[in-house]
Amino acid sequence: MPTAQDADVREFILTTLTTEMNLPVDRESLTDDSPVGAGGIDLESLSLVELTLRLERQFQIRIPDTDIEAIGAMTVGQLVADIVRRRTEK
Amino acid sequence: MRLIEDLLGRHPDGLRYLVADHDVTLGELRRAVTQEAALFASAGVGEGSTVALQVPPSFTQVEVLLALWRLGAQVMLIDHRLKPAEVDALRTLCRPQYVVRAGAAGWSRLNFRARHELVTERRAEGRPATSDHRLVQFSSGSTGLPKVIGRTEESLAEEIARFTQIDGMPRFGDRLLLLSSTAHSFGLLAGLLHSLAVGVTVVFAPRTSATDILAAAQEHQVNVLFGVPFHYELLGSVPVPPPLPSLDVAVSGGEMMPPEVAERFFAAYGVRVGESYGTTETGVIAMDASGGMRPSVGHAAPGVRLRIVHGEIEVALGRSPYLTVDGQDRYADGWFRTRDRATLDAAGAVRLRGRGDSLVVVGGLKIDLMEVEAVLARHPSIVDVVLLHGEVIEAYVSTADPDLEPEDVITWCRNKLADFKLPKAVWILPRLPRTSNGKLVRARTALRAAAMAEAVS
Repeated sequence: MPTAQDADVREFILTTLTTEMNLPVDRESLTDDSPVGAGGIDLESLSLVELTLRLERQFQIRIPDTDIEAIGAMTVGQLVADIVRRRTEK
Repeated sequence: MRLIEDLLGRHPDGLRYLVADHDVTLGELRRAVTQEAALFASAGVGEGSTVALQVPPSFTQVEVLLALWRLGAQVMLIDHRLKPAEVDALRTLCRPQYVVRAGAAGWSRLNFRARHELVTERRAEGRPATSDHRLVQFSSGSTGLPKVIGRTEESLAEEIARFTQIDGMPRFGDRLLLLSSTAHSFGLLAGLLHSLAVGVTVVFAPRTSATDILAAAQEHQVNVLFGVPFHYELLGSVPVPPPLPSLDVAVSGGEMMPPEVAERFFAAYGVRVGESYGTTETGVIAMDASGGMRPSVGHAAPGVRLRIVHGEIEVALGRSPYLTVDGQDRYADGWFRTRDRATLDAAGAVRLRGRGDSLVVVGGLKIDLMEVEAVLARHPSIVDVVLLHGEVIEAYVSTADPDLEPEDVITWCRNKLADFKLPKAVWILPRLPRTSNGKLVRARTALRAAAMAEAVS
């Protein structure tokens, strides 16, 4: 069940992509099923690096470099759940 | 640093990355970085170590910088042209645990050398990093102590990504002739790191002379040129400019480009010189690679938020860029004050109007020293000019004309400027002192000393 935490993280991700990172992403058309990588937001690796660094700072979490590739293969919903999990586990 | 792993892993092994007297492919770069990182790791460098890197722009500098970053070190990038006293001041200020410098043997100021012997020194009084900044740079230090400026991995990644979104930046397969110093923001970020990200070949000229730069441009069929105004002036002054058919983008960064220099370069080579405006603290702020927007320097770079407050440009920054108390007054509530005066046109293009600190008040009247400088710069025999305001407005001018007298300079201005704007003291020198980065020195003591030395000789 979506929680307030989920909504927080999702909002931060979408705002970062569209505003801070200035990527041509149409917020309205994104759902939890949209892939982060190819066929969805189309984040390439440099942008993925930037997004993970921003997530680390915002939510005071640590994402090991070895997890970056996996994040690139997630959907938006999975990424949100992943960040929420890291926040609660830290 | 994951940014480094990403940058090193984006393109095939065979891509030519660095070119001078020999090439370094991406595969060779990866191996060199791995080797250097292993060496530094065995010397004790790791996450949060502080390392001062004082190596001339070279393949060695690139490899060592990437290796130190891979290990998670905080790298203080020191211009190799600084004098020992200046370097000592920086070391005292920042207390690096390691100092990596080039062995003194056999390099000269003018010649580019791809390889340098390294001397690594461990310093007992050094301290580990107290912040997550990974790049530490120093402001060019016009007065007093240098400001210590930090950039995080995130801020570097953000700027590289920003450059990938700017029209006119080189793309995969392009060849960039990089004349800008890689010890400073524009050369490092727009030149080296962005090129690594998108797969651009970076060419270095063997010597800072018009002949050598042009020969390198022709030999490697470069299509993009990055330099400072000095380089464009040098190339524009060639009596018979050779054709550079492959060149289609030229960008000046680091200092305001005099329009006449851009025009001369255009007349000689048929390429307009674009402009990249930024600061060490923020990275690129606005850029127009086409050169078609002059006198504007372009729109705010993608993702950069700026505003004009009291005629000066301010840029949104997540936190203060300064590591020491010096300069903290320039950051407040998420905004960094550049001290550059600017206006925005209706479409949001940035037009620089001079330094905020060049605005002076004499007898209650505001005077922009840039205005007076511009008038002096138009004098047919004056080459460079710096205006200062101490008790009175002082002009320091350089000329090759032995007959030019202070009276001539004043007379020239008298026709063009209100009396209250006239310089009251004029110093004439064969050339004006420049910083190690090639910018005109604006510190009064240094200018006075040069003027006194000239008067004695």
